[in-house]
Amino acid sequence: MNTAPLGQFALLAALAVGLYGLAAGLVGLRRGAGEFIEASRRAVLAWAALIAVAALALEVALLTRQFHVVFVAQVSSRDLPLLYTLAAFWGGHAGSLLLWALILGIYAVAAQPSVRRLPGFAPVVNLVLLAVMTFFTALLVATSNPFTEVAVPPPDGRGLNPLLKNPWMAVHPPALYFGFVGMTVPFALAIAALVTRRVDAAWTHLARRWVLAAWLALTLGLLFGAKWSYVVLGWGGYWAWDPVENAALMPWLAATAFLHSIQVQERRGLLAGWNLSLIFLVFALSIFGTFLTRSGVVSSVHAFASSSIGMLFLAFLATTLVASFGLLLSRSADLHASVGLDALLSRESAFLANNLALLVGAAVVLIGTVFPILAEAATGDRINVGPPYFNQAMTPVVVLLLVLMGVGPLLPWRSVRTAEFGRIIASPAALALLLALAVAAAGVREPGLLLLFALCGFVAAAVAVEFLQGIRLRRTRGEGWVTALILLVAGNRRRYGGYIVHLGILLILVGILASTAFATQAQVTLAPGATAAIGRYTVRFIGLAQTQQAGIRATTATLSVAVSSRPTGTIQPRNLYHIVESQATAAIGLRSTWRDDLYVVLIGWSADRRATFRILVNPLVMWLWAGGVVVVVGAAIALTPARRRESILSPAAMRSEARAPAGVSRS
Amino acid sequence: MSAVIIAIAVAAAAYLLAPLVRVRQPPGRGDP
Repeated sequence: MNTAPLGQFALLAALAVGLYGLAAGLVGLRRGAGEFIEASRRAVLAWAALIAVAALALEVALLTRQFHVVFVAQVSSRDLPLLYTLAAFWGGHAGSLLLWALILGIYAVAAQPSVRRLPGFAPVVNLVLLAVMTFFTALLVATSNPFTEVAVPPPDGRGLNPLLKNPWMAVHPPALYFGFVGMTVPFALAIAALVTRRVDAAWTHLARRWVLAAWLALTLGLLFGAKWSYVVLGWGGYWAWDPVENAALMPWLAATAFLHSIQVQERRGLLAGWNLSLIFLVFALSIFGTFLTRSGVVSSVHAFASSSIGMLFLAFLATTLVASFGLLLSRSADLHASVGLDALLSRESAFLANNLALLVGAAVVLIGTVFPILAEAATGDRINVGPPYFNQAMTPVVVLLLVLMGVGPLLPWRSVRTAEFGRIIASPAALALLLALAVAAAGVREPGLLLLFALCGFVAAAVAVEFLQGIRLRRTRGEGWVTALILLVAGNRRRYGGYIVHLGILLILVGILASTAFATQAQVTLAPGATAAIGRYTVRFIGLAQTQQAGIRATTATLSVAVSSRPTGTIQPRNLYHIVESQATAAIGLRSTWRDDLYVVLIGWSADRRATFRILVNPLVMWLWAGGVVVVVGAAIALTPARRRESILSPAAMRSEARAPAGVSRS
Repeated sequence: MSAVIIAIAVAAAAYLLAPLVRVRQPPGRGDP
């Protein structure tokens, strides 16, 4: 069976359907003709179905080893296991773009019922979706066709890049793309809000859910990528400020800003124009992220110049920015708020400062990512902007964000008296001081680190205060602690889900801080029976073994591990030689605990059976992954729709509620 | 494979053109 013609047809048909839908939608909007608007809605659904057919055709081509399809031969081979054959779909450029399109189709179909709830929005939303759809189908058809065939197929494929043969890499790209592509729906909603002149909080209410879902996927994508980097690349770290990582971090930061600033619009009617701008920025950064990862510009500007896809992406990006911000400017008269900020010390000011910090963070990452590319284009020399730049520039941003994460939730809306403010933050501040003292007592002397740990304590205490006060209020009705906690969270999922996300982010930050500041490493060459000590660990090299299976020749070193002279089992770092691809990768030996990770890489071995290892002890890395799980739980809680209005407000909300004049709506 | 392609093409065209064709039917003979 040859599924390439079916895929080829589905892509061409999708392109035609996209163009048809665009034309029908434009005519429908201009003439107010319902039948044309309906035709354009049907085009969205038909496009999604055709792309699904194309995706199915490619997946079947991979599974049935149709090596006459160039893409299939490039990313798979006969001995590739089932999981990686499925994942080989996004193991190369053309397949990745098809995955992008497939996910866009899923989002477009899923968005239809909710978009209809806003009168007049659906035709515009579908038109924007069709524009994005048509662009990506044009790319797939013209520059990155995954169904290109050759007359004489090779006997076997080249195989999947060995570095991608890892479960984390199987799930990382889809998660990331669900994040990138998900920003298209809120972008379309924002355009519809401007076109229909309904820039009130109604669209943000709907957009929030889509942004949050995409943000969650982006978070997962970032974490999966970090985990992959940690366990596969064997350098001991999980984040290298690599352009491809940064590509996902930038929209993440901007989307985080949006998720906070919409609360100001919903609550106070402020920042309508700002929120629209943020969504345009988030979408542009998502497209830019896809451009960075897909155009080849990262590896070299010359690779970028040699293919047309980069220029097409840049043209699309420029068109998007000009069109969206142009529309925003033309509607500026609709965007004037009747009220302003009441006081510097208020919840809304905290949100504004948070937005500023997040956008400065995104700008820092953008500059550090783009500068080497521009420099190479201008001078021909590659300039490397490394972790020192990012770490130094991001530290003040993180400090400011931590302060705001702690203070913000405690601040009431509108304004607060300074004395009252002092009373509110007294107990979290005291706890933060205690934590700083404890960390100092544990031997940490650098003031910067002490400050960061103290701030983490401050945020944790502030979140705890919010939870405790809410629970205490419920307990006055006779509820038990656990019931009160569950009902508190269930009663206002958005708020308490958000706090749980804050706790997760905090765990991630503590993990990053500790593992960056206190990691120790050593490189040792050991004969069988010899030992090496690092930190509280002693490892004894037992011996090497070689095996061959599924196209991989594995060399496995076995080491016994003792913690403070107490034996705790063995660890087995491996070197994997992929025969078809003639490339070696490392499989690290890892012993993870809440306290630290023992991370062993087998670097080499000699004929006399001595082996060389890089051994690292990375403190609190598990906190990072645990934090990721907590973020996912919190975001999932915030995503689930509330069945009824919150029955109990949080203490801070009650404080502001008491001060708010009649007519100020509650969130 | 060609039969599948033709079937998809016909179904898609019918689905997409239906809203535009329907309104051109004489009154009383189209959808209620």
